[in-house]
Amino acid sequence: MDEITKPRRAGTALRRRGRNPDAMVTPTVQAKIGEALRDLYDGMKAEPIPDRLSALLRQLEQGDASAQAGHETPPEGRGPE
Amino acid sequence: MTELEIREGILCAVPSLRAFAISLTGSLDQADDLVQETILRALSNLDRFQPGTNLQAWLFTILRNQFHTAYRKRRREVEDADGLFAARLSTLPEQGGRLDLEDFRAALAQLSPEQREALILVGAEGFSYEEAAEICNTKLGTIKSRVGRARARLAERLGYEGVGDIGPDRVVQAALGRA
Repeated sequence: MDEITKPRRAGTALRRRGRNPDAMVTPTVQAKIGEALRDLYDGMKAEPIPDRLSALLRQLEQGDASAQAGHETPPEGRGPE
Repeated sequence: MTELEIREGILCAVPSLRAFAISLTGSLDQADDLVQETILRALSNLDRFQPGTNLQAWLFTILRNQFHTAYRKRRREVEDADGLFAARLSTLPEQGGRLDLEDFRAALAQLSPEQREALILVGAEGFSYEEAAEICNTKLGTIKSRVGRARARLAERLGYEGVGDIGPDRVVQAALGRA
């Protein structure tokens, strides 16, 4: 427990945490990271959907995408491979 | 869960699947390929989905497996795959150009792929540690430690205060009766 109460130096702290599988940050820092992470992630979620993907999504909505995906029962001698 | 409900569930999951795919590949194009393959694969394996389990986690598992199959192939050809990834992630379209977010993105790109993946599943997508462990096909303890290390590293690189200072944590834990 002594080690963690010593004055902190970036280098040693990094090395110490590198070895410690239970590395922890404070709840405040955790919340800050979580917020930035979700901001970034929401931006990725909102990336415009390209045409090729939206076509598939429309099929999915209309319920006939499985026809395109139907690899389970390929016609005889005409399998995907 | 009817097939119609599963279809609707897949549609609802698309934004999340894309975000996860972008974070794995670091490329919008590859992410969309990956999402497309994932949807098609899910649809042709609907009978394998166990009703009552988490559809989103099932889809994420498929996407991740698809990615790793492709990634392993690529890795034989591309030596510095991680460095390449970091470069790509940091050149993705800007989101409002917020400086702190740009710094955050750069720091995230420097994490190991395993740490980044674990942190995104738990910290951004909101999966439980158990679900994240299942998606990554690893142990609960491994996921917990990856998330912990990822957070510690980010905090370190971004200069967030309070890193390594576990005093407040212990107070909180004591208050929660866990100390």
